[in-house]
Amino acid sequence: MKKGLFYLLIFTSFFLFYPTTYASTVTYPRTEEDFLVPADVQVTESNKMDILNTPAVNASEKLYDFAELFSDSEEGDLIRKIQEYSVLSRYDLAIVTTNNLNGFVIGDYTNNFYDYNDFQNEGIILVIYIGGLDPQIYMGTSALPTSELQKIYSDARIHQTLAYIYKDIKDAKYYNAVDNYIKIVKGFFELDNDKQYVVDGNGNLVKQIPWIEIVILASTLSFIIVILLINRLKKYNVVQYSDNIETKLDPTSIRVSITKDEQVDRVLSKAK
Amino acid sequence: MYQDSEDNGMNYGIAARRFHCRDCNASFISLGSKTIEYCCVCHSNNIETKNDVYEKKPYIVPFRKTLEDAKNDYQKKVLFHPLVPFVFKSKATIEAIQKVYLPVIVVDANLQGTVDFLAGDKTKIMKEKVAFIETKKYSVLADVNLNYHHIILNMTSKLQDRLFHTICDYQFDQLLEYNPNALGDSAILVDDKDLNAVADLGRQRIMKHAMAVIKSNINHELKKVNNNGALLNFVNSKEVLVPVYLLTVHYKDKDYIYLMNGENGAVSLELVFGKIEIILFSLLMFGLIFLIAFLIAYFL
Repeated sequence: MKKGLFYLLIFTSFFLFYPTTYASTVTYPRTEEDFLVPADVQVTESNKMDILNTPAVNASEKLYDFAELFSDSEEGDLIRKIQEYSVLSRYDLAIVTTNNLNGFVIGDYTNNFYDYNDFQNEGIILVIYIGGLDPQIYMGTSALPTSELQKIYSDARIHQTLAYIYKDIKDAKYYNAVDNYIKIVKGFFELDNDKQYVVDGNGNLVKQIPWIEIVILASTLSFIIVILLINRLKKYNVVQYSDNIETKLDPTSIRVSITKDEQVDRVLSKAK
Repeated sequence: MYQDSEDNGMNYGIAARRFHCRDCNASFISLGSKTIEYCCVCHSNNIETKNDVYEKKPYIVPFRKTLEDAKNDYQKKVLFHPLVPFVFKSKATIEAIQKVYLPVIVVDANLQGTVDFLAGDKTKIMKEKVAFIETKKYSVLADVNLNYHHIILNMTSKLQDRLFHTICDYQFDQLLEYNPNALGDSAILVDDKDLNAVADLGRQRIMKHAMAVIKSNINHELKKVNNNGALLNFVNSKEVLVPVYLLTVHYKDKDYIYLMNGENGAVSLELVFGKIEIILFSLLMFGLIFLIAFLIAYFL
C-alpha cells in the first residue's frame, strides 16, 4: 500500500513539476521603475504610455493565448511548429490571441507587442483579436535594413496569408487558421531560400530548373563518352606487327660462344 | 567435278576454275561447284572466270573455326560500337566474310658461323678537373648456331605481311596432306610472289632476330657488326595452304581488313570511326543525358 502511494506520488508530481511547453497567459507588470523593455528600446515621454499598456511577456514562449482559443494539445502542437520554423529560418515567430487590445488599434498593438518584448531583431508576429463584432487579424514584421525578411514577407504575401486564414478565424477554426499560417510563412521562407522554386510573371509557382548546369553536364559527359569510344576504337587500328619469329627459335639449339673479346683501341675525347 | 591430270607420273595439276578480279588483280581458285561471285580480297564483283589447271599444294592446315565463328566474332566487335560507320555493320558486309586458303611456304632455318663485331664501352673520366669520354674498342668474335622451326613465308601479295603475321600462329605439327574434300568451297588465293624475293625477306627477318640474340650475349655497351660470316640455310620447306577468314570493307577510298586465323581464331581487325556517326552519337548522348538530368532536377 505504502509503495503504491509512493509511486502514485511520483507519477503525479511528474505532471505537477515537469516543465510544460504550453502557451502562457502570464504577463508581468510594467512600472515606471521597470518598464521591462529590451535593452535597445529607449523609453521616452512619447512612448512611455504605449509601453506601460503593452503586455510584458516571456519572449521564449512564442504562443500567447490570452483569448484561450486553443486546447492544451493544440497549444503544444503549435508551439512545436513555431519552434521548428524558428530553427529553420532563424527568424522569431510570435502568435497572440486576445480579446483586449488595451486601447490600441490592432496594428499598433501588434507592433508594440513585438517591439516592447524581448523578441529577436528579425521576426514576424500574428495577432488575432476576437473582442469586437468581427475578428481582426494582423501580421507584423521586424527586420534589419539588410534583411531578406521584408522580401520574403512582402505586403502582397502578408495580404495573401491573412486573407487565406481569415475564413477559418471567422468560422472559429482557430487551430486550423494558425496551423495554416505557420505552414504558409514556412513555405514562403523555403520558396525564397531553397532557390528551387520561383514565381513567374503570372504569379505561378514554378520549379527552377538549372538549365545551364544541365547543358554543361550533358555536353561534358557526351564528350567524355565519345572520346573513350574513339580511344577504344583506335586500339583496333594499331596492328601490332609481332612477327612471332622469336617463338620459332628452338631454345635448345641456341649456341653463342664468344671466342675472342680483346681491346683493340682506346680513344679519349673531351666531354661536351 | 574435276579430274587430276598427270604429268610424268606426278599428280600435279587439277582442273579448276580460276577467277581474276579486275579491280585488285587478285587471282583465286575454286575447286568446288559453287560459283564465286565476289572477289575474296576486295569483294568486287568485277571478276572474270576461266578454266585452268591448279598446281596443288601438298599440305593443308584445316579449318577448325567455322564461318559462323568468324561472323559472330566480327559482329561482336563492330555491331554495338556506335562510332563505327554503318557500312561495317551492314548485313551484306557480314555475309561477305569468306573462307580463304592462303599459300605459304613453311621452312626450317639454320644459322651457323662466326660473326665479327666491333664493340665498345664509354666511360666518363675526370682529368685535372676536365671531363673526358674514354671509349674502349673491342674486337669480338661470336661463334653461333641457331635453329628456327616453321618460319612462314607469305606467298600472296594480296595480303600484307604486317597483317598476316599478327595471326599466323598455325600449328604445323599435324599437317593434312592435300585433300580436295577438306578444301570444300573455300577460295584459294593464287601465289603471285617471286620465290626468291620471298626467301630474301625471310632471310632478313631471321637475320635481324638472330643478330639481336647474338648481341645480347656480348657484354659491351656498343655493338656493331664488322663482318657477318654466319650462313643461313633453309631446310625442310613445305608448301602449305593455311586457312583464314577474310573480309575487306571499302570505306572512303580505303580498305579495312578483318582477318581471322581459321585454325585458332586469332584476329586482326582494322576499324575506323565515321564523322557522321560521331556527330549523331554525340547528339544522342547529349539528348539522353540532358533528359535524365532534367527529370532528376524536376522531380527531386
